[in-house]
Amino acid sequence: MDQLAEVLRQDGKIWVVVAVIGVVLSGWLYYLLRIGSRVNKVKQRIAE
Amino acid sequence: MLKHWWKALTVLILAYVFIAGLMSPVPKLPILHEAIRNTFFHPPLWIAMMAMLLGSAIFSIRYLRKGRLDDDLISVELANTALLFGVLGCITGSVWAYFAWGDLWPNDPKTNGVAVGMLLYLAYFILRGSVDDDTRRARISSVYNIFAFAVFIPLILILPRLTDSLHPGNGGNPGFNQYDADNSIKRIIRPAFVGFTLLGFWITQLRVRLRRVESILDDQQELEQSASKRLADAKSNESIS
Repeated sequence: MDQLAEVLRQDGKIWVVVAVIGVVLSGWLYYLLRIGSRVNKVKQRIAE
Repeated sequence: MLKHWWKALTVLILAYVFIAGLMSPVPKLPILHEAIRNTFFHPPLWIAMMAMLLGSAIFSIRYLRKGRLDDDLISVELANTALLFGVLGCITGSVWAYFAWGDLWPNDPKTNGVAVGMLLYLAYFILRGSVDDDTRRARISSVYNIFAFAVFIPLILILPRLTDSLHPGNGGNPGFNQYDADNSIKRIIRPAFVGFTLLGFWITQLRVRLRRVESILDDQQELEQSASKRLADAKSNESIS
């Protein structure tokens, strides 16, 4: 962990920005995938 | 097609924010260096969250005035998406704080205020889960939601400005504005506020539409069940007589 932090701390810290963007995008993706699985459940209910 | 213009706008704004946010020149500051670019991605999450919570409170008021369950549904889903944005804001804030302030959760009035605010809204969902009757749940949670919003805004906007805070622009700590003479930050952060908020409403709209379909299906199922029960009752009555 410390080593990773050291690597990430070096230079211009652009990796911090990359990490933040990664968190934001994966959070949105997670929520959308959950909506998708709920849509599938509704689809199954209609098919029954 | 005309109804969807704002979705096209969202895509355009977000594309601009993400590309310009990574490529455009930014003010040179010690410690922060390139991490100043996080200001295009972390604060907009909070702005979007506050906008959605405001919307949620407005729909709660509308529910209390008109009594339509659909307003309550919109209000919950806005709060749901707002909570997602809040959680993302906390995590991105933690990442940024670790490299800029040296702590994952600095003891800062703004972060602590937000923690309390998030707990307020978690309590809102627990409250909803604990009431079975639809209209009662809607009424109680609408009242609570308005109250929670009225507490949340002072917690994250007003109180941090009254004490010392690490956050720029709070409690005597200068904002980024003074380094931003050429508008290199404002040019991107302002569209980012709009874009993130619009995306939040877009996601919420998907959930609301899905929930409407689900509630129609629930109603149909209930009708079918009561109809088949009545049929069975009638049959058993016949056999008795």
